[in-house]
Amino acid sequence: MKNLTSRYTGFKLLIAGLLISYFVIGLSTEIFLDGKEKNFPPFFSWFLFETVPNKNSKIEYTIRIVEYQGKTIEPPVFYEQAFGIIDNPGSPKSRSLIRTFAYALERKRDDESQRLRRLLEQIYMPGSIKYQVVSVRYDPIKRLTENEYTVKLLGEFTKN
Amino acid sequence: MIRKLINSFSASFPFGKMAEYTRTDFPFFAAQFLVRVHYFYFLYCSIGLFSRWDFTIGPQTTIEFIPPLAWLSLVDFPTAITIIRVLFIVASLLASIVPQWRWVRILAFVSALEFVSLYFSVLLLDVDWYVWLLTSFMLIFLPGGWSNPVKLPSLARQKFLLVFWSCQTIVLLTYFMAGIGKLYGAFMQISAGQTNLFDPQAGALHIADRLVVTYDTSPFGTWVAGHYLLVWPFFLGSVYLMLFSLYVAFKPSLHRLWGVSLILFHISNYLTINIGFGAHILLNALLFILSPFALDISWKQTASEIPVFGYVFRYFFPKQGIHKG
Repeated sequence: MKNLTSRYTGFKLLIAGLLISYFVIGLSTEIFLDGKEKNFPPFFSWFLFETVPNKNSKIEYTIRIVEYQGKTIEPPVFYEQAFGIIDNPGSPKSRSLIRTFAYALERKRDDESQRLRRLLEQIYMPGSIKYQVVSVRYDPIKRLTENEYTVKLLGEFTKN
Repeated sequence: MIRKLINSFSASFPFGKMAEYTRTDFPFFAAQFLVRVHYFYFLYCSIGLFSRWDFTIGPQTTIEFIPPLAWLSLVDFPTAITIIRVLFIVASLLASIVPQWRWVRILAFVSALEFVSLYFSVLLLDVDWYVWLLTSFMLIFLPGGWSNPVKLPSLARQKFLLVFWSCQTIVLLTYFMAGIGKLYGAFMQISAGQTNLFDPQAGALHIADRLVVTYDTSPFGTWVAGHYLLVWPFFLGSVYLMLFSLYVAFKPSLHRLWGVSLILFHISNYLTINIGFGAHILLNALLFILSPFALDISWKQTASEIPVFGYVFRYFFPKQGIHKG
């Protein structure tokens, strides 16, 4: 009986230990894996939407398509709205890659931006396309309700 | 002082009170049923979640390294996706039929981990499914012998219920961690003089920015973004909900209320920022709306234990008994 009780106590400690461990490891991913904290399922910090977008000037990175199959697109269309040109423009994976690419471009990390450009064009971009990598500055509420924003060009590229 | 605290903690729900829940059959049988439903959902998802066999999109492991998929470099992608999906189908089927066998539960967890990792890499199977991985991991620790539940001794039933409770707690822990993240973000933004959690427009800004960044639409997102004062109390309420989630794990009287509230939180997200988290909704319903520990509880007991507001309720209704939890 005493043996069973002590084993049950050990079991309770095990359960408590597992829960505490997940808490510690999960929070650790936020510290030690910044930007890659979701890549070790199921360990995750659960820091989702932890910062409020700046109401005066939020900056987002994206792509504008200016030419496709020899035809100029005027006005240029944002990647996320390029249905009929891009297979899955709403893909969060492509969005994440574009953001990383633009970030490297803005900070003039040439090797990294070239590698990311190759990946982007190989996986997500069709042939015969000319596109611009841009940063978009906006107030989120005004952009949603009044479509107000400003664009800054970071680079222009062509995939044949 | 610390020893006193540990002793008090050990004597309260669940560590010191689980024997009370084995005095009747209902809690154990309810928990056992819910565990089976857990694996039925795996079986459904193994085919229903992504019904098409799509070999055209390759994994993104060249961009982001995901440890469970480290072996993908050894095989071609069509072979890998076939292995992972067939393994998950087989493991889910076995777990639906014989969840009592530990090796089956281990296989179910491993196959689910590979499945989730693959689709996280290739498509949008975001952290929504992580909670199912966590619960399937905790379920590995269920005791043996429940093939014949009627004959299962009391101590084994207590262990079973404790594991079930650990599934509830690990899910609530994720919400608590999200709440910590919100407070941490608020601290950082306040320090930098930026818009933060306590700004009346915070909720509306989240909604607007999400819809803008994803070029998405939702039934009420644009309207809510334009009426930020209406959404602000609910936004602060969601932070409160998350921060006290871990506390609720130790208060069975609050399980159902919190389960419904968390589901409503996800539904409101879906209606405004178009983030579904359907897997979370189902798991919350299984674990909390049908909580085996939430027995014979009056609304007054529940109200008296609500964090912070319970003090106000007890001020006006001082004679409410505290639930055994």
